[in-house]
Amino acid sequence: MDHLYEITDLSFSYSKRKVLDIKKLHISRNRVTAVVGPNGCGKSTLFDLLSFLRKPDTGRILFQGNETMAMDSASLRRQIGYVQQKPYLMKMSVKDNIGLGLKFRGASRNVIDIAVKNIADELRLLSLLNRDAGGLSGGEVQKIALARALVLQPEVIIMDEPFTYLDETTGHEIEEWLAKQRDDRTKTIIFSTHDRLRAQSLSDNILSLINGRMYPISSGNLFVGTVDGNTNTFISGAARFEVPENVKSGRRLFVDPKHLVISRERLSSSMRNNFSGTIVSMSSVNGEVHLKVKSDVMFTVVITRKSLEELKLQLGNPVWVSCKSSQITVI
Amino acid sequence: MDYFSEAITAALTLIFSFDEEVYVVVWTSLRISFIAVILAAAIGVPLGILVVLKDFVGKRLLQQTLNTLMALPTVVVGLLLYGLLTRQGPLGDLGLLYTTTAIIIGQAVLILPIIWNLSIAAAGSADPRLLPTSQALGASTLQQGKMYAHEARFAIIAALVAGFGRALGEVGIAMMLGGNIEGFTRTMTTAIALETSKGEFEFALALGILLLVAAFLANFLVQRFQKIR
Amino acid sequence: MDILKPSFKQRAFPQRSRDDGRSLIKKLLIFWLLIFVQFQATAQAQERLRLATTTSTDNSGLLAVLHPPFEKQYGVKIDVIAVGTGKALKLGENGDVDVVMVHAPGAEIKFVEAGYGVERLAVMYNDFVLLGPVEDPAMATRADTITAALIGIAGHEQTFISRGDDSGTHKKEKSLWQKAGIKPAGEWYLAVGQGMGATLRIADDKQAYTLSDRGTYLAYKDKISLVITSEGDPELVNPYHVIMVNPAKRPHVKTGLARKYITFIRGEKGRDIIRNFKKFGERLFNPGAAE
Repeated sequence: MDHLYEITDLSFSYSKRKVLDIKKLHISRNRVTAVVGPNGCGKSTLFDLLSFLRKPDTGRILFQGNETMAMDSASLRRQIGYVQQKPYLMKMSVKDNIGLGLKFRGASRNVIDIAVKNIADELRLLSLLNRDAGGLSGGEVQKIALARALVLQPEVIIMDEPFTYLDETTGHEIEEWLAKQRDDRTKTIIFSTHDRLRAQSLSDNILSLINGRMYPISSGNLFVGTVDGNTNTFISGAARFEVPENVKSGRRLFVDPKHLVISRERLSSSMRNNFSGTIVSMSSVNGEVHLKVKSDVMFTVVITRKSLEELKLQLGNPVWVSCKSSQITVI
Repeated sequence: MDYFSEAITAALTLIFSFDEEVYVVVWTSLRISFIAVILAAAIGVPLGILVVLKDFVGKRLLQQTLNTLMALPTVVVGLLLYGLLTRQGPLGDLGLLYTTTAIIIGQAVLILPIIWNLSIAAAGSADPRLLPTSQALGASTLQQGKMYAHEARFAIIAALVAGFGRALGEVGIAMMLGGNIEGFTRTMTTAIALETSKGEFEFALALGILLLVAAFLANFLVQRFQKIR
Repeated sequence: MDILKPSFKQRAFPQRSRDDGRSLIKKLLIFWLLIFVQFQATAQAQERLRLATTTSTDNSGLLAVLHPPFEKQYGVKIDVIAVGTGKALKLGENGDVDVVMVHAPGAEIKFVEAGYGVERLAVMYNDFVLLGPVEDPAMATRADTITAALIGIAGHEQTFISRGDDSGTHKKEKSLWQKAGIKPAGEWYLAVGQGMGATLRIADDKQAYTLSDRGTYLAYKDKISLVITSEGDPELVNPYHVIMVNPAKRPHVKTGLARKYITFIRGEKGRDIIRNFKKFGERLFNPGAAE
């Protein structure tokens, strides 16, 4: 696979406190990569390094196959579109804000005008163009910041917590936009979120960052299919899921691995979705147990070590996987 | 009290009859101080922004020094420049002593620390996200500086007005380097000093009133400008 | 969007935009225009002659009528720098002025002997007067000579205001105290370090005695209540001389213009103006050398 970034042995400290320590990290070109982790896990620092605003203490960052440590930060930055957490808009019109990066690159006024209009059209920002940057909503600011980065046609778009300060409508718009980019596979996008669900439903790859270290994460339980509005079911291959009644359309179904219930026998409960299958893999991650269950589709289930011992589960055991329809998300 | 009220009446008469002598002095003063501000700003504002943009050894010491220099006594500036500009001084060949240029240089030196230091404060009070945002958008150092100048423009203009006020109101430099030559280097402040000593209290008072008006006007315009934006 | 690429995607070596460049050039132009305007104002086409003189000469108002005809005739401008005699001679010594006009014969002669000045020529004279309050508590009016009057002031410890600024008047005052055999000191003797006009006002405020040239006194007569308490002593004659700064030592001195000026004020026209310059009907200066 073609990698945009190849990172090895990366570390970064703030006055002796190590906030990042990454042995190896590759980020694929033309894919959407999500970085998941709690606040203070080092996401923003990682993004500052990826956008070349800071230099790592140690380690190597290959960008487009080139070693970057000795390269000029300013010219590297010009290949990145970075939408920071809680983006800052300059005290000027929305139009001038979006065109600012192009102006820095020496583009002529005409070129800037056309490019800004195009991108504003794409992100439905045309009506805001002549407004002053002050007094906009969080969602508008976020979209303008995205437009400001996108208009530069950078090699990569990096978005730090893009959903944090958003109203619901804008949140959906950004989600839609990300989903479209994921399907188009023409842009490299890296975004962070503390919402694992969102990360899994909107990205190709997920990285989990905890206390500055990378952990692998299973991206299971995301199924492609169609909604049958009449029966409130989602059909993915041979599997049929009952979904909440308000779901009328969507192409992807997601269930959090922690919301799946595993049992030896079919449970007689209010849970509407029950699948029988076989345990095909077991692994231990951060004190939790990740199980893969092969059924009509492949499920990933996360349980505690204690549950594993109580249920006496072993590889090859036949099991039932169940969940409530209310815990299913369809996008 | 009669003496004073009569003097005020006479002063106002001088002002509103547009006495040529009064307005030549006013114009000289405004012109000199304005150019001094432009000169000091051309150096002080970029330096102020640079101090905010870059980290370097001795930054704190520099700021402490600037703080001290903000209270630079005018006579000290006058004295030092007098030594430089007098015919026997190192720059004597320029023949600048007792010209308006000498006053301009002196006032620019006087207010450079003020404008520099206030520009640091102005740029320093910009949003902390300004620098990373500019950098992420690919701004060169010069462009980053321009963004600071843009974002902090009102505070910077306030710094320039503070400098202008100091330059306009100082008397030591104008007297020592300008020589109070009538119709040439006589400024409002040196004229006030002279006319008071000559007992021409009305004339001095008229200039004093105009000096106050000029200071008020400058501040008023800045505030007005800030409100419109 | 792709049509844009060639224009701004040259990332490693971005070009400065023409718009940007133009506005920068405009700003620079305005900046240098201002500087230019300033230098124009300084280096006006008019030639300037620099004259250092004493505050008393300038405060009298004589120069304001003496200079315009000369400036008009030759199309030049005279910059008058009014300071104390000591400072005026110092300015000449440094070459900061072309001509000095002062009234301190002793210092003038030293100045010329040291080679800083040439062509020391008499312009005019007047005399000093001792001023004091109408009540005259030191009874100076009764004294026959100025030295006797000063002895009276010191004896009664009446407040005396001294210029204390190394001016011609101050030098004269010091020499008079010396002749009277008194070293003035004590609470009654105040050196204020100011010009003649300011000193008169201070003396008036304090109702004290002071020594003044007659010209300045007449110019201030209507603004102060002090009266003449001693005059006419030959010791009180106050001659003014004009000296050109030595061009051999200070080569930038405008000798041509300086000579024209000296010739003018000592010539017929200058003498007429000096003779006819009056305050309250009294002549302030007499043209020529004191006898």
